[in-house]
Amino acid sequence: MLQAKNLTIGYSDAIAHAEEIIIHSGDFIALVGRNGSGKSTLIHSLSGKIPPLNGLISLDGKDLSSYTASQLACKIAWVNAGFLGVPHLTVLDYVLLGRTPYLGWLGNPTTEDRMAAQKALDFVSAGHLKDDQTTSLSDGERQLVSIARALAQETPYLFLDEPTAFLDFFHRKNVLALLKEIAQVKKIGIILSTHELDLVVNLNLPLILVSKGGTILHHPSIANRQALENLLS
Amino acid sequence: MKPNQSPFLWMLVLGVSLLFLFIVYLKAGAYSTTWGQMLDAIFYPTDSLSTTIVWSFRLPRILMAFLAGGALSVAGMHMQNLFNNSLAGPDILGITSGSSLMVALWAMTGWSLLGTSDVILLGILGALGMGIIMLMFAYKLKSVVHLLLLGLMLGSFISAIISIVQASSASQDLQRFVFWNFGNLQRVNLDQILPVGIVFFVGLTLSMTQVRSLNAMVLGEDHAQSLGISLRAFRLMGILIAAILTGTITAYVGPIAFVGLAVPNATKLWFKTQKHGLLLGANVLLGALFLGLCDLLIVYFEPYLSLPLNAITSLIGVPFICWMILKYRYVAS
Repeated sequence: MLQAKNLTIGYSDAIAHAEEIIIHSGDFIALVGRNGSGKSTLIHSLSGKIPPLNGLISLDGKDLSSYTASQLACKIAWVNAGFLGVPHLTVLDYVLLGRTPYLGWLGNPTTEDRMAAQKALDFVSAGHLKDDQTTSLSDGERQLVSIARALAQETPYLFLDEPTAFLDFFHRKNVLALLKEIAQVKKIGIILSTHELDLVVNLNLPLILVSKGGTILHHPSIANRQALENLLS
Repeated sequence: MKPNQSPFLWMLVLGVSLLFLFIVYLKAGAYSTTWGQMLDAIFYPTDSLSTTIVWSFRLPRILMAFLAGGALSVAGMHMQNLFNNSLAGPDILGITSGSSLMVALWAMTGWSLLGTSDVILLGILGALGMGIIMLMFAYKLKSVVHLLLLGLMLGSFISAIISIVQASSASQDLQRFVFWNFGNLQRVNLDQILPVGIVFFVGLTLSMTQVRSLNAMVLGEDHAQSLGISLRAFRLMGILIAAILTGTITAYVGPIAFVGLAVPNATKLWFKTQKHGLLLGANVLLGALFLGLCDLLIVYFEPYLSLPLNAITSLIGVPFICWMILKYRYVAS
């Protein structure tokens, strides 16, 4: 369980505040809020990249700040929309980078690592792309293999920062359906920040709302888009 | 058979080429030795002229060329990875200038830091200082173009200081510095190979501990961090390795341009991989081969024309980098 209490987040000035945030394994939660409201900052705070300005975040009963970088990497995987491909990096090698926290200094993957990577690729139905160059993928494929990379990391939590930002409607729907399946099948706790209010409403996702004033609230799913918009403004 | 399909075969090819170059080099030069004389000189050294030529001139010179080429290429690989840009390199980001300044001050004014006149230590400290300054700029600036411009500016600034030192120093000291500045392997002696070799192997060993991080860093710092890489430790180690390698080589053979920039790029284009364990080995071999060949060229031209090493590496390196920018537009990434 990932739990934050009395949390104030921000880089130097406070951006947003939450009384309590709780994420269980198997949760699939949409993080919604306007641009600049602090969605990314919340994700960075909850994943231990920036310390909270105030309050306590605990992961499986232990203070988040007491984890080392590589221990955290075995707990939380992170995906954003920013991966544009790297020259000379094949899809399989990219997904294998998800195994980094389990590798030795020399970074040599074992057979077990290769199998985990292949399994992750198959899970997102991108097994056929494994020998392709990451630079030659379409936006949709790139997002799929990024999710595979995170799955290969075999973490109990997965945070995604606007992973659907550059995708068309069809791919957005697919990615969200895939993530829902991942949460259910693999019992991974997922937070997904997104601007896709329609999809969020349609899929009945539980929400974490960041209001314009900087209040962060848990909310059960909302069935009406207008009501959701009103809550955000 | 493409290098990315059978990388180890190509590593072997590089290794054999290096050995071949080594043998050809020992025989090359104005004073001609026969194969028999050369082999005798190596295995049964006497006080004959051919022994002196091989042991005091040719052997240290080619060994230093190999060490310098390998070390600068590895340093360049670290810099390009650290700054996540193909156009980074010890000479572009001012690391080499840092060493130059220290060596210039030492050579022309007799000034020395910490009371030491150990030229290696001065070279390393200069490189380390500039490395840390550039790293601090890298924290402030997200734009790589700005960072490269700052590196060029700092390089010019240091050149200005060096020219002031030059202008006010005795002609004998000045001449020594100018020769050093051309980059030269002519004055290398066998006693220098051991300390440089030790630094080279320390740098290489430290590099091997960083392979996993180097691999993850190609995804950018944010992703590397989420994959469990401690950025602070990684950056410090990268700068440290680049500085000890560049500083040592610069102190001994002068500021050699473009090796650290061109070779790691050529290696990546050739082997088409982001596996840094492989790239590390390939950089050592290709860097050594490249600088060894440049120096062989100088040796062949020696009877007719004195070619500064720096001029040769630039004459080959600059067109390559220009071609790479035009073809791959790497500057934008």
